[in-house]
Amino acid sequence: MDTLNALMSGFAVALSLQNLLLGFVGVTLGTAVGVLPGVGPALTVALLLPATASFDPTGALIMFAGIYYGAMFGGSTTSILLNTPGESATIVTAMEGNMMAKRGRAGPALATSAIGSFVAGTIATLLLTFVSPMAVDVALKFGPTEYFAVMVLAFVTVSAVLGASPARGLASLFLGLTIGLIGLDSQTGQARFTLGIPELLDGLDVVVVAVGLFAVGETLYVATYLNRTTDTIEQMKGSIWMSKEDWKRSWKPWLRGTALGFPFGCIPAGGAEIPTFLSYATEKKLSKHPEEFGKGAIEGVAGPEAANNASASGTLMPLLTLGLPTTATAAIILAAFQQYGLQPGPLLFDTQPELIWGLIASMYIGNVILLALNLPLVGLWVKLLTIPRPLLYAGILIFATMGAYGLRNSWFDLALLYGIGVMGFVMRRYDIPVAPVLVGMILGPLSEQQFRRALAISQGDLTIFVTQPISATVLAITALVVIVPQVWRLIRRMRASAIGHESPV
Amino acid sequence: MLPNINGAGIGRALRTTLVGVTLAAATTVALAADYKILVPAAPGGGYDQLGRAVQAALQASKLADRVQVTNAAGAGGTIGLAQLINNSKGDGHALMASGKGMVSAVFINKSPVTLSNATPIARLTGEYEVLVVPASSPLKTMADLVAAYKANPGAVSWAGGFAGGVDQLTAGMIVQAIGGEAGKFNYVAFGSGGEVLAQVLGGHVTVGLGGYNEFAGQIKVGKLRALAVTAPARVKDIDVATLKEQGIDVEFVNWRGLMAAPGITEAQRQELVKVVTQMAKSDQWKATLEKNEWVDMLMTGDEFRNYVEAEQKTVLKLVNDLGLVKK
Amino acid sequence: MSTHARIHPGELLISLALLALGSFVVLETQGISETQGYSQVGPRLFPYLIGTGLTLCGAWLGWQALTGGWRNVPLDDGTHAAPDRMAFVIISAGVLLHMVLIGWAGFILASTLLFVLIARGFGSTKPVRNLIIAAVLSAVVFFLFTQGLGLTLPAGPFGGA
Repeated sequence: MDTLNALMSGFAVALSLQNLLLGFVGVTLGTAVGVLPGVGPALTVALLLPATASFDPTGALIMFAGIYYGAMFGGSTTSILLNTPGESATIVTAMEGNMMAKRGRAGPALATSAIGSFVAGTIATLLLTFVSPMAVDVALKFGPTEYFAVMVLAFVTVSAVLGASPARGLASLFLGLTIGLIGLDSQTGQARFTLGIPELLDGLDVVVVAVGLFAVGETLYVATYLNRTTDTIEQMKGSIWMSKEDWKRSWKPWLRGTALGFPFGCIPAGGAEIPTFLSYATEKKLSKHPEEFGKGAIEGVAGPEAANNASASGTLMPLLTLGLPTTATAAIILAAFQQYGLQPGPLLFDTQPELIWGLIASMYIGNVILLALNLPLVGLWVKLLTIPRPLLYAGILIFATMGAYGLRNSWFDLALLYGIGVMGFVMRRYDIPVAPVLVGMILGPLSEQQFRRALAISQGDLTIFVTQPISATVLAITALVVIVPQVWRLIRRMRASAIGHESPV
Repeated sequence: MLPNINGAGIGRALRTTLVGVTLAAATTVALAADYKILVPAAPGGGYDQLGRAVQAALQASKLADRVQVTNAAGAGGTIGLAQLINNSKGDGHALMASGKGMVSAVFINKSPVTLSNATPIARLTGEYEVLVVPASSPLKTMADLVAAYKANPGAVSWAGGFAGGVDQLTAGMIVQAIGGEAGKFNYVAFGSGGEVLAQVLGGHVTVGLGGYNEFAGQIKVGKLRALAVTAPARVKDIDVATLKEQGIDVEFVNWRGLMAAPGITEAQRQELVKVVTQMAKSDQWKATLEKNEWVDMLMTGDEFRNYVEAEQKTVLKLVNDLGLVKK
Repeated sequence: MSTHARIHPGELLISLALLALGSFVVLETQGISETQGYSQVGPRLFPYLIGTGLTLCGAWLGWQALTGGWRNVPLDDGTHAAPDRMAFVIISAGVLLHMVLIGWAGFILASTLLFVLIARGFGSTKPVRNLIIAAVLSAVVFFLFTQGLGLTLPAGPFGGA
């Protein structure tokens, strides 16, 4: 009942003209940056961060959250139409979605993705509404010991983002961890790996690294290697609407995708990418038309799209209740909170109820707006891509450099941006995944600090990690996450060899 | 005033606004900034709030036509300090937000420039530190805390902000005052005041330190118990015993103020002191102090200059005692 | 399975760079003064672990590069056959010039040049059109952010002061 009341007062906040407008701007902007390859929600929020310092925090955060889940909506559009994922979480969508488009079924593909995102976003927001207040009580029980255990779990789940080659994935992760070491050690106050450069004392900014790796790296790569081939925009043929058969084949994947996406959003470094892969694998396994996979199966669009949207909403739960960012965008939204002197965490529900509930309520509204935008206006969004490539990327870089420079008005950050851009270029060229760099850069310093804080409090007693109930439980789950797939693989292998003629994938 | 930077819609639409923009450019550019305030921190922090509040007050009280605020974040403010000293030499219109945190950051980060290189103008506000424990803690007074510390120094964990910041300096002064070894106390640094708050409430640390405003809400609802405040005497609206009342001879204020560029003339310095003093006495400023619950600590001119020198000596000794300056 | 017939110099170079960076981290860590305090764990432990990990990754990739090339690389469909080196150089020049210029030429001029150079790098042959778009876009971004939102960007010679 309390929750319902709180939610109702949240709607009162979210429905104020200003917040409604900011929410609208947020989801629209989010859809736009989702559509644009190389510009993501993290970059957009980061660019807007200094600019919104003087805003009312509630309105600004409603806008930022809108950008985040709006981008998940928009990312699928380019995946389907151009086979160019606008977001890393929509890579899977490109696999089946673009095949559907090539067969002239872009309409149903875009529709199932939009409706699936809406369904998933709404269910996930309901979960966020009714589970979060309870989670707050649990959240206060999290001290450095418990946080460190969660970090260990996060590192284990990271393996799924490492890509096709464990060697390159790990190299990328360790590169990120190394970058994360740069700066003042917060426990002793001494500089590490700053090479005597004062600008490095605070460490590298996640925004500069993200913008460098994605925007600058992508620009250099596309100009150098891909500019000769032209992107062709698929024509939409037939009806935009899904047939009865399409609905029948979509609704279960939507729900399953949501079920996979939300918890992955909640766990640190679960991110939106892993559940889309899991959803794709699940749908392929359960589909009555497995032969269509790889040729444009609607389930392969519906499931992953629901998963990435559910995880975007799920991400907000640990962020709001624990102050724990589980994705790059969440990390920047966390910075946004701090910009207003707010520390997300258990207390925020007490100290800023109108902000939190206004934010949650705005997500229900935002999902409706997104559906309204993405179904009928999809043709208009596609027009963004008709901007000639030279102008598109030149425009992107103006925003990228402004974002980096605006942080502290220093040319040093621009030099850093270019250097990291070249690194991103090389990584793309040699198929080294870039996402683990950011994951390592965010998780590394957090886990080190929590580990050392926990041990300071326990005065060097390592057993604290297994004697504290929450920490012990999380570590046990971690062990299961590592062991269960191995056992499963073993069983499958045994079964496969028993049947004898099932070839491994 | 909506942030409409929908970068995608670039093309045609913007072309039509070309004329309007050029006109706007011509008119705005003509107005030169009367004062520039350098904020040595990212938007949103303490220095930024001070800088933007001064900007608003100067403009509202007609002491300046236009005041431009620039952020130069980094390294506890020492990046901004270096910018002021290297780029604004002799500029009588350049101001920088500064404070106690910057004094210690200069030493800890081995900054090549110090506050002595800049020209002190005025101290404006300040905040007292407070020591808090969760309501369920067995510690009721400072005496309990001192007893716990003396029984087992390592078992008392002191949570506060980053290493070498005002929270650790406060804890270090207290430990010294009660006869402990300055470097020997279990200080656990957290990323922000909010984190410290959550850790104290959850009972994960023994005692938390921070600015009074950060904990005020939870102290008032009784979820936290304040053991002591670092003010020299009882403060209006703060119902907490001072350290001195409890026999610990420590007072500490986290002050913030304005510094000017090096190499300005005496006349320029006098002018800045005059303008800032007028600003600090304006109604607009009084309202700002009220709204932010800042304590008015106006101190100007030579008095402030001597104060900054004394602060630097005290803090330098303290960070050395605490082992925070690595050889 | 098609594997690389020869050692790919790029792969080997990257492997060695990672190896060198990892070793540097381990060596540099010795210069961090160890203050363990009550936790028994100082500021050196994680740098040692991370530096070692990076070194091992470099060694692993180096071994792969020497034994038939990196594993699971997507089949090269000719994308990397003919790199447009000029595009890379022009875009790099754009970004670096922007870095040099923004301080004294101001945001609008620096960004206009950046835009024009990147468009050129992508093979655009309409410099006049690009220049107009660039100037308008830079000016609009500049005024939106500085006037509308209070962010300070360098104004350059047009800024008066």
